[in-house]
Amino acid sequence: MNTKMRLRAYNVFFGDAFLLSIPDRDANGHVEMRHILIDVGNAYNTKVGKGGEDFVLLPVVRNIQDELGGRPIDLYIATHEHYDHVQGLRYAAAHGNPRIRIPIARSWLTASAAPDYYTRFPNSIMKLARGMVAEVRELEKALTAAGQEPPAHLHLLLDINDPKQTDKCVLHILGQSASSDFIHRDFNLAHRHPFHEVAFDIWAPEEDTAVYYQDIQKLAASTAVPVATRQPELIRLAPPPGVDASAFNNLLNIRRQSVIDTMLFVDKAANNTSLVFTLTWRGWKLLFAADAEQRSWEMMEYKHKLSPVDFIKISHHGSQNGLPTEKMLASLFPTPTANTKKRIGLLSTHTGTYTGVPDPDTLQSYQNLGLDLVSVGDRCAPGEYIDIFFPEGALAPEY
Amino acid sequence: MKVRLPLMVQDPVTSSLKGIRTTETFYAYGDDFYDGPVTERMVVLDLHPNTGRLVPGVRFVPPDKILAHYDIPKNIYLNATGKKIEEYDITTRQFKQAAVLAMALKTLFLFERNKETNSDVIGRRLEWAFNAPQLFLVPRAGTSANAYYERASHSIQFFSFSSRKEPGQTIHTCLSRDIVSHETAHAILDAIAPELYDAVTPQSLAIHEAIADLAAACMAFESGNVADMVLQETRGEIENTTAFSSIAEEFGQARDPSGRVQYLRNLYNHTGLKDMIEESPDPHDLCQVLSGALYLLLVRIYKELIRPEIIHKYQAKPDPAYSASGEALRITSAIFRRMVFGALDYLPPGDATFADLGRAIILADRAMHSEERAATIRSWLKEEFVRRGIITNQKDLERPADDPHEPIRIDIDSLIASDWVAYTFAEANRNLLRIPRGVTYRIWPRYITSRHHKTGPQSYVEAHECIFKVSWTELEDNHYRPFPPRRRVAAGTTLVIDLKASPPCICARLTTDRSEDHIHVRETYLRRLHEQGILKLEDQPGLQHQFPNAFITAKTTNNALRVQATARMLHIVRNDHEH
Repeated sequence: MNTKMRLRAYNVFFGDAFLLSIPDRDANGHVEMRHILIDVGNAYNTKVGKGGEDFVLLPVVRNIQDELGGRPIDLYIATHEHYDHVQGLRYAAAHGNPRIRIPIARSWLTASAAPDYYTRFPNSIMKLARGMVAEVRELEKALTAAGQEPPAHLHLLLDINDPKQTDKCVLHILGQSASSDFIHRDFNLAHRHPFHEVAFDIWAPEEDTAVYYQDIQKLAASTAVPVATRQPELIRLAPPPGVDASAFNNLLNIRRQSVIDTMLFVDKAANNTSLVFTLTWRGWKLLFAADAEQRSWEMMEYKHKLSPVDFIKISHHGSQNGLPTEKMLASLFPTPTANTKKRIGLLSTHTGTYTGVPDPDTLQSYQNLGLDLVSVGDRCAPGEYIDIFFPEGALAPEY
Repeated sequence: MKVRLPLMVQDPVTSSLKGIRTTETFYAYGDDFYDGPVTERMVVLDLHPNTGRLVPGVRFVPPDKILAHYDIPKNIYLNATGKKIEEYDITTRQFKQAAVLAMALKTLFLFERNKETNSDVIGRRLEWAFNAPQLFLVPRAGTSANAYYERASHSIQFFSFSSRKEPGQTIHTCLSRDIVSHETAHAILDAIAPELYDAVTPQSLAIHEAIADLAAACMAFESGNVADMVLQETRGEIENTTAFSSIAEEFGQARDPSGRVQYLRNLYNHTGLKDMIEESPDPHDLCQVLSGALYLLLVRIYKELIRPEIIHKYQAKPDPAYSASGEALRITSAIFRRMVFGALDYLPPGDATFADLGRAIILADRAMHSEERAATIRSWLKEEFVRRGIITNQKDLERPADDPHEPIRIDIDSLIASDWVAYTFAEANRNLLRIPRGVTYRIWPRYITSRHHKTGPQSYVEAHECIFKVSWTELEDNHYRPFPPRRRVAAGTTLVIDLKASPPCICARLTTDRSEDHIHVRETYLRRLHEQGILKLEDQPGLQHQFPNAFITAKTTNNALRVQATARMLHIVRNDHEH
């Protein structure tokens, strides 16, 4: 066991939960098994069907607790503040019987999770984005009340991005952590983790993530919540004299659609601010791509971060949005030589939760490069796990 | 009725930094001005940025011993010498409502005939591409560092945002003359050449951006206050000042906390096609090749007009160089607009390229101006296009010697009024119109243009033409596998019929550039849009079905890709990393 790193990937339906158990040798040759926990969460459980069922989280967190044997997690990495990545530990602490509280020696979160982030970066668009969820919920209710069915997917976006819920999860993680760091590409990681043999490289994001929020625009949806009914409703506006009513209403409807569309961009921006990092141990280089989408990949390429890896946690649950371009993939997985290790793409997703995810063409892109595709959902039952071993000096992982 | 309107000279921050007036006066003519403002062609809809409710429009004051105007609050104060000064309060909603209309109307008048300039650039009344009479201007559309023209909603929406350079300062894009003119020019070009809106060729979309930027530059030329400031500072040298050539200074500065960025784009550049690093550059980058070429042409025209022998004519003035340069700016702008904007109707329908626009400019200008000076200016344009790699040979912009000049023996009024007559004509003249064998085609509404330019107290030149446009789609191979094996690209021919000739005869025939250079560029461009998640395929699962406006959706019909509304991406800001 001292010569193999183990990645345990849990089936949490639609979400991510990974436990890395790493034999870590110090300068004196003493080996200690240390653990990194990455994310733990699944989709919000309204309207997504099975993909968001929370019962799976309890056996997962219990198993993590068992593996730790009473010790704290050496390093917990929350890649970004989406519900399907941060929910798990808080859920287990609230609903476990007995309640399960996992102590964390050190946690890494995105820079934007820092309590003083919006003071140091008074970027109104990011703050705006957080505030938009409540407004879009109001519009959603008003449209429904008016008999205009909003997109089914909107509810999912609202749930997964709701800061009221995700903030609680982040607070729980911070509360469980003896120390926390808010990480970005240029963050100095020296002395920020206990590992002797593991090298981390943060590929994304930068500290100021405003660029990913450029697409977001805040429009008023012309809704109101009358005191009498306390139910959101669409405001009926009359066009000014001399203005065609049909054209005027068309403008308002398109603006309302823009408000709804903005949630897509809020979601995308949050994905693009995922912590993307590599972890290198005794010749193995693993890439955890969280939910990075195209703009994040473009920035990583621009910053010359893309380099060959042996393993990738496939981004964004296998969606087309998370697929790097062909050129980027070629940087990550160059044509293999005799000394190239067998490469793996790990897929953590649940088919049917979101339309088009996972995307078959996206998965094929990885397979075309010769990667073995390992799908957690296909290989183990919900709440259970698969183990992938990375033996020191070997050319192929074991699973 | 003559109506006095307030106009932003530039934008609040730039005016303050440069020590020039913030506002100036613009006079519009028309009978239909109402509270709002609501006019026949444009309407300001001020939706409250927080509630979305319609805010009352600024009150119109009809003429009654004083000029018609809008009731805008003013700041009144005494200056250093004790003189009472009245200035519009630009922080008020009334000012924003009136000023955004003024800037948009003035931009329209760069193209259309109006009483103030009394010249016809485009030579006809434009109809908006969305087939409705009124363009909606929304001055406080919401919060974002953006502004955009949107055909589907018949609107231009202007957003506001917090400055990243000066925390606490709010930037209103509706108060930027550059941004308002730029976006209005998009709407105008969409009215003139609507097929560009669906183009899949980067140069076609870049034409939109370049024309919009040049309209903003012409607005600067037309501003007495800006011209005054520049000419005082530079003593008539406009080449090295960014006052005319820099687009959206306040906007560019506000988005950059480091203070390095001074504007959004600079038209004064020497960028050539070969300088484009990417295989298929973004239209916002690519447009600099075209706008730079045309802007240098403008500078060259101006320099020609302030030659020493010209300045000599102003010897009687206190400052001859200054007087000559002021007049030269005015004339330069007029020449440039007639030459470039006046040629837009000649553009062939479909995915027009820079070379297509160059040909349109040359031929449209030749139809009006045969004098030596005009020929010289046209030769400068050809030189510049060659220098920037847009064409390889100046002859590429010339009308071929064997191009048809034949008379059109058909009743022009019937040709214009009757689609049947038009289709019969097209079918009988497929070769003339270069319609490929076996394809179906579309005839566009025919119209007459009367471009008119006064050359002296009793003299003028004019071009009186019928514009006949036909378009079709051609198929190209798609090698990018998520796409179907072929894709549709729009092409077409513009036939210009000289109505001053008797009988009317063909004076120009322009067909969309079909060179193979653009095939690979289109492939790369569409592929990149798809990889970025902007372009979605309609027949594949995904969010495009639930959020149609958030993507560009491409349909597959008969195994060929058809992309529409690519120009929806042309916001003021390129979605790019802040490097």
